[in-house]
Amino acid sequence: MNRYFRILLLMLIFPGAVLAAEWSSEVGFESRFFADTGSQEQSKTHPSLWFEAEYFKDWNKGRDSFTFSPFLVYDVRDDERTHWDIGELVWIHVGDSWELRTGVHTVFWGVVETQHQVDIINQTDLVMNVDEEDKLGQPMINLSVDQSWGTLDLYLMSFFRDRTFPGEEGRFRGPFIVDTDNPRFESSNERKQIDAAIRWHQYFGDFDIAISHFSGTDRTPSFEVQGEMVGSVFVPNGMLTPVYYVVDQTGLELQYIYEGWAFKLEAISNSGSGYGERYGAQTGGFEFTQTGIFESRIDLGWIVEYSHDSRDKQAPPRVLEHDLAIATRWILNDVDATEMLVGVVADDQTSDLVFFLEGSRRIGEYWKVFVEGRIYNAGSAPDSKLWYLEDDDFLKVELVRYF
Amino acid sequence: MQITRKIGFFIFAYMTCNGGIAVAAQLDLSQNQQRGLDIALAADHRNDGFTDTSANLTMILRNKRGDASTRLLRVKTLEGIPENEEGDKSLMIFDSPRDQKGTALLTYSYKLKPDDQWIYLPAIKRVKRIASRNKSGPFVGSEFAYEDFNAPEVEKYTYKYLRDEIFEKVDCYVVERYPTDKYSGYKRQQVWLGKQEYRVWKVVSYDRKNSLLKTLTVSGYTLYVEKYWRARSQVMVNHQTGKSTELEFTDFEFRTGLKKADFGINSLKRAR
Repeated sequence: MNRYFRILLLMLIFPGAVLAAEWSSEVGFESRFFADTGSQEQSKTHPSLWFEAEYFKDWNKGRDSFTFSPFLVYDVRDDERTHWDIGELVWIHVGDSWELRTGVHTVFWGVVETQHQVDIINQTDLVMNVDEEDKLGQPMINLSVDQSWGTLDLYLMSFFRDRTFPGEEGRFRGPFIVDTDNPRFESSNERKQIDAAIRWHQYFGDFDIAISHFSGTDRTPSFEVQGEMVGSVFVPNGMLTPVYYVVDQTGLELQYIYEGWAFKLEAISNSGSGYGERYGAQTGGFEFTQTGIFESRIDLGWIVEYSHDSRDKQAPPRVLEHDLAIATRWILNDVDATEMLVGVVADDQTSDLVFFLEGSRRIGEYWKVFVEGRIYNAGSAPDSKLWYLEDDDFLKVELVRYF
Repeated sequence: MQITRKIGFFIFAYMTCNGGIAVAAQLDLSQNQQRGLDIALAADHRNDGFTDTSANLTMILRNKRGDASTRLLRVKTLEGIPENEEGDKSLMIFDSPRDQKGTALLTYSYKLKPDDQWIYLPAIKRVKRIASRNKSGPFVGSEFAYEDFNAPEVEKYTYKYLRDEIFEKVDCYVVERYPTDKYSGYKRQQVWLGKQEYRVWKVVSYDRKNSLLKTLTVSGYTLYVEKYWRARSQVMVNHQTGKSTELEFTDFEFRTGLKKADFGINSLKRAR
């Protein structure tokens, strides 16, 4: 409890201190309400409190800047979810048509909405959100060159960040617990392995293209079941060892905008050491936006995306390997910036269904409320990949105060 | 264009009974179109050579009951090079509301084709391309549409001179303009331009159904670097909803040495 106490104390002191000039910060009060008790008797309500700050300072007429962005979260139930991170600790120097970014930084690659295939620079802070969109800061040197032939980014990275996973009291974990304290690495340098990446992005009118290559330790681990042999029988101990392999991954991003349509494609080819052979995965589809529907100021967007993964049944459980996603995005364009995304992901082979909802709305000047919910409807055994999430239907309500 | 077609019909009707009148009407119409275009070109030339500007912007949104909410932005603009078919580039950066802090909107305007627009969303660290057809949508919940902020390149409209009129003691030309982009939210706009300095004092916009939609009133002009007039206040009233949005510009600066690199997609991510 001592650790919790210190984190709580920091959260109480920090927002006051950071009101000073170049600081901005936000505090989130969140609770996740689950429809059922977890399959391992985990609690139905999971409240947590998080704090994120940003310090920004620039000099040399904006040619140089420094950003520091720490993040802290205290989860009442899950020890593994109580953690901290530094999303940004970066010095950016801007030259004539180039930029050098040195330090801990967060980078997003990609165009599609429902599954991010090419995004590989930062590790996923999975314990924060099952949607895999929360990331951990990655130490790097990134040179970005902006020329008439496009933007070329070169990355050198080290100090590998381990993926976070729910602990014993956490949800979304199935019967196994990931032994995050004892991962295995293919590289003998373990976390000190140097990863390299390159990405070229260019747009021609309404057409965007990006080609990328990553060579290093894959952010997504494979798992080994821990246990011991009792006689000739292997008895698992309920723990999984994350194993991080060295991979080469080539990525492609395409986007074409035509009137209200945005056609999108992301594709990867991964050397897939952990799975023995090279695999490919793609997500593609469109978003169609109708502005001012029913003569109102509401924008209605339709998102349709299909994901495919050549590993098929061998793909990790979280991966959409032959899934169709259909969603509608409602943007009210009101003063309070009310937005909502409602949709479903359906596996056309296993009949797995995931219904999802995300919404947000500002309250006054300094507050914002977020809601998020998912319903997991596992399809037919034995191929269903949702069986371990069937008790994890949830609704998350989050209230954020901005300072 | 409904209006021109209607006029065309009348001309046709006249022509069948009296050729002479028809020719006169046609001549008059094209003269007024030419005059409208001339006024628009003259107004546009007044702004030539500004190089770059930056300003702070306070946006006050008011609903029917008068409840107000405020946003703070910074606006930077880089003048395009006309010989390269290049329009102005602009960057709008949000300081408030706090949940939007760091959100930045980058626009490349073009004379003949639709603008390119990108938005950077700091919460997800993502740069998103905005489909140009969404231009008629409201800008951050205000009564201004995205297209109201776009650089008013002359080529984006056709024009017609309507009349002379005194507006708020200023001797004005009233010119009607018709957006050439079919995704514009407006069928037509009437612009009150001062005869002396070609400054815009009022814009009345009609929606696609030709109903009165919005009135923009501009005031508080100041002269910068001895040539460029910039207005301190712009008030947009939506007649259909009763809501209004006021823009208040302060700290105008000209020729601050902004470069093309300050308006790249990379610069969006570090715009503060």
